[in-house]
Amino acid sequence: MKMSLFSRRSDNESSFEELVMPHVNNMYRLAYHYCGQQSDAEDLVQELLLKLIHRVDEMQKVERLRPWMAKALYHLFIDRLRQQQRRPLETMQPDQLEVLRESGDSGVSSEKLVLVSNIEQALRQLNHEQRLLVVMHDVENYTLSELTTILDAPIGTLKSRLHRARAKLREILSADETKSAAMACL
Amino acid sequence: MNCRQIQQQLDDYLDGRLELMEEADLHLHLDTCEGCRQLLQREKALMAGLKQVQVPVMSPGFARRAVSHAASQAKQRPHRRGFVAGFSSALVAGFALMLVVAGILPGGNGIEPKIMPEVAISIAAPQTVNLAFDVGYAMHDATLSIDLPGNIEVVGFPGENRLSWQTSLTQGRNILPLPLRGTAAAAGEIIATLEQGGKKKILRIQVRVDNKIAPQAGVSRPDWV
Repeated sequence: MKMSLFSRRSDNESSFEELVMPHVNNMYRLAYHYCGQQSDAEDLVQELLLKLIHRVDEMQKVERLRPWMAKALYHLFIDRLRQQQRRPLETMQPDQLEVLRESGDSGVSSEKLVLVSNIEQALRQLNHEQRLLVVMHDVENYTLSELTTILDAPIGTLKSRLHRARAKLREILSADETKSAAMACL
Repeated sequence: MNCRQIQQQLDDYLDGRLELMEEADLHLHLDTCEGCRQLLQREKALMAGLKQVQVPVMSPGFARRAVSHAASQAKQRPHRRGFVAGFSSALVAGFALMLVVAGILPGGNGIEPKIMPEVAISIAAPQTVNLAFDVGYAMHDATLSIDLPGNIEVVGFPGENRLSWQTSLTQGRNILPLPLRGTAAAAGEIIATLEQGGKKKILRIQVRVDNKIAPQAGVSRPDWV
């Protein structure tokens, strides 16, 4: 790097903002899926940004920043989970259903509302790895190719895991449907 | 294609990963199998339902606040091992290497400077001395100051014996081309000071201004302050 006698304050801050701002919401969404709580998700995103501020030069060279940041977020979350021995995701109580209800004027039918509610409950019953994979691929639309980068796993392995995770999700949903039908008959 | 094969390929179909021929076979089967059609509808509903899973919106202004906070924290607390340890080691490394990479580069044409025992410039024409700072990690908002002896000035800053500005150093080598002009034949000392967050490191460079062009250059060892 060539320095200049005439240089003034660093433009790192503005570069950093330009780089990360378009992806903050995406990272927050992922973080929410990981943590299950809005405040925890925001904490995680803040922690991510504190790490990334020191990597502006590296980020400027990254072609596709969203999966790159998602990978950093994923590792941060895993580290945090290990270090702090947080309670399992399955025991958390996300307020997703309430959010959906609040958006009552969005044209979401009551049948869809029930289905989404069931899906959310079923997602919570998946194990940690399956849940993250389904959420990243099917909810947040990360491609398998991007997920190979984020999760450090070959595409074939991810395909198999995703297939098993979806199968498990269907199994949970079917069991819930059967339970509901049985309850209705009582 | 039978029902079992359909079930196995359904994920690939829904994700658009089937080959054209495989997809045609699948459609052929679906045309004749009510059970698999219903299965497909359920799967499509599941995928659509997953897309509907909602996330509460971020707190108002969170994104901008979080980015600003990260930037402000970076100023106060450089990355890795805390300020003192990180800064010290980076500067020790930086200035140690500076001893071997700082040198004279007539004309400032971008050629890697050679190792020189001392710096000598001519009174006849301006010459560029390249100062190289190798740092272990990026340093933001560092203050770099150059103190000049009375017989040397930086081209473009006549009569100024102290130049100071804020700058950032990227990880690795940072070159500062210093275009110098001698105004009187004498020996002197250029002092380069790099400061960040109350800590500073000084490099003293012995410079001799000759009446004629001298090819030699040199630098001295840095002193802790």
